[in-house]
Amino acid sequence: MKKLSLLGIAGLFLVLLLAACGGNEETNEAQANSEDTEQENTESAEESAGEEASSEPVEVEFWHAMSGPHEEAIKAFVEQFNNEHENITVKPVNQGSYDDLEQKIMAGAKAKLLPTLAQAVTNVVPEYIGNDFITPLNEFIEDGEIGLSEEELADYVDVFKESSSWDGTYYSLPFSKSTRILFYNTGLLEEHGLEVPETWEDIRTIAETVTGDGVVGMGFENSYESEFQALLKQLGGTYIDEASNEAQFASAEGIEAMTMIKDMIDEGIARTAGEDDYMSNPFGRGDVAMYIGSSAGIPHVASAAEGNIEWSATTLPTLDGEAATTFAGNDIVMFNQAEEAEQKAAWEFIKFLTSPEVTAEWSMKSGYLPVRYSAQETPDYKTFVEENPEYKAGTEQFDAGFFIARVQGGDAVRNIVLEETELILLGEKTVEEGLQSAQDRANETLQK
Amino acid sequence: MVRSALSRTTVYILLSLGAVLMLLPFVWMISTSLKAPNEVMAMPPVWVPTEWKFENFTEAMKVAPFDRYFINSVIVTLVSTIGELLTTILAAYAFSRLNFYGRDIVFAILLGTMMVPSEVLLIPNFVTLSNLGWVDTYSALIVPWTASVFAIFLLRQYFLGIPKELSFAAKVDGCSEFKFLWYVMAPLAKPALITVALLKVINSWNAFLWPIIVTNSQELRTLPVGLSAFTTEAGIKYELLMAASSMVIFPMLILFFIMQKYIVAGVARTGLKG
Repeated sequence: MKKLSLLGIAGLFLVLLLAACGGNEETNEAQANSEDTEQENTESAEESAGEEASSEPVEVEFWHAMSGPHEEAIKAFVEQFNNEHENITVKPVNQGSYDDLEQKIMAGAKAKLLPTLAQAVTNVVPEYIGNDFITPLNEFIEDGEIGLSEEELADYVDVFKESSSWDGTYYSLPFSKSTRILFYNTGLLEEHGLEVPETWEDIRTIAETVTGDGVVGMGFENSYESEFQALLKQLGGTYIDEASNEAQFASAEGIEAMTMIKDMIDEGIARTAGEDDYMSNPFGRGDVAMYIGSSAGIPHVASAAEGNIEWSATTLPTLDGEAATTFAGNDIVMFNQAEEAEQKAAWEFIKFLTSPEVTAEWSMKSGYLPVRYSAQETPDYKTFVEENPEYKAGTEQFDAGFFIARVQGGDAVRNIVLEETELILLGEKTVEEGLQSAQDRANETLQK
Repeated sequence: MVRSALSRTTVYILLSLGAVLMLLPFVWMISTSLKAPNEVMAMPPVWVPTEWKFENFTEAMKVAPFDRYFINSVIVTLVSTIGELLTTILAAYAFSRLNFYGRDIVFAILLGTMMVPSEVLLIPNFVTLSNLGWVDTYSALIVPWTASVFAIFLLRQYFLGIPKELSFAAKVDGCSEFKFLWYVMAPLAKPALITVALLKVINSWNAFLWPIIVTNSQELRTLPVGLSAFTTEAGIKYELLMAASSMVIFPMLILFFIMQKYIVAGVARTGLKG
């Protein structure tokens, strides 16, 4: 009897192990099936005198960090692309957050298991170039047959083109891009008879007027180093010099920029998101009259504000007539472990994803910015922006756009700056001390 | 008499306070899962939603294929827990009762591996798996987790506390090592084994980074990967995240209620704090 129970447990273990392996076979089968259909597709492609030079079926894996509705949108694009290209199958794979995706790419590179394409935060692209993971896109862009015409290339938004190229070499193309915009509570402004702010002086006046009664005039995200950078740029200073890999923000301009933010917070007419994590929450509650945040936050503001407040968004305030706003986000990169046929197929997919029609639709579905100028001219997009004017704020400031210096260790610098500015806001360090120590620590990291 | 009643009341009040404190996060989770987005972060906090949004649950389910993830989580948790129990029992017995050359050195080396942070091992382990051709399979999710040095250590210490005379007596009666392990040692170590198993189940159920690194197919992913879908760069959909979390945590709660007395006994007897 006892022997039986022992056998039983051993048996149970075996069954479970087999069950686990069985599941495996299923996926293998599924893969085999999809290969079958691919082959069928190729055959029919050959029958219809295939338009592409290569008739071999190619699979292109595309790793991304988009979830929820964004992932749905990507899946829809992929399906459309796969239907249009009979011998190319793009396989989108969600790899968690941006950090997870990055970690997975590092692991995949070591194991020679990289995909053909991946989404990559612009800041980590230098890391991938430095490690020789990714392939320059120039040979595809300049190719007479499958490349981009001069007009097409010129149609890519300038600030994105610049952030994708290093000394004239394109290592990426823009995909999911966002910028900083100014959100404001229309009801509150109207109540006080105030106009939509255009300059930092306006921001100050409005904040002084509306603060009180549980309302704070101006809000900053916890990651307000973007606003610090924009102010610094407007004052003529430099944050990090890309060429010399050197942080230079503890300058007179840097001190002036930081003092402007700190003064507003000290006077109680501005606050950071703090415990609220993101400014969309207090803004949606009506606790804050205006705030500067990511254009990708529009859907979050919309859901937090629903039933509470009326709101809209506009371009960032100017300073002494100077406009500046950071553009950030994700690009698409191509890995050099992939074979030539895969790379060619992948290039077709990049072209498709960044085509005016697709990027316009992507923008409408996701809230990211269209990466082509002409995307704004498509009829659908025009109607969309008319109905949702808050989306105009992002595209209207393309010309004022700049991007955060792309240096290895950029994320570490960001954390250092946030740490030190925290100490400045708490009054533990003066603006000069804090910025100087942030700059020293940043340079230590950058010069490693 | 009066004094003891008084002190008992004090104890109960303190315990109740502790219980309330421990329960707060759960209550908050469930209350948030039924809120409208604008009440999630409201100040002052809203404890009872003005309108009960049960649709949060159906909405949350749409974000990821949670049914598939659930099945995967169950398979991975179950198989890796059973696997770990088997390897742990065998290894702990060897390290506590068998005499062989280099035993203590091998054990010391094993303990040494506990010092290496798991983040450092992530990439080497991944490379090993890819050499085995296991990337994107159940094997990758399960096999590396079927042995745990910590569990071996825990059980070895427990085994050492069981009198040697028992094994002498068994041998005199003609019992083999394996039979002795299976019929005498393992049942005696039940509290320790339950502790090991529960820690394993909890870790396995909550594991996030490993499953996402070693799999590419949605068909192979587990529940925590699904939960990550509610977080984006510009904000977190707390009401949906909490709805999904309530459902993910539910099986663990049931397990806890069933196993409650063993958990407490296990923790108390092995001197291990949760």
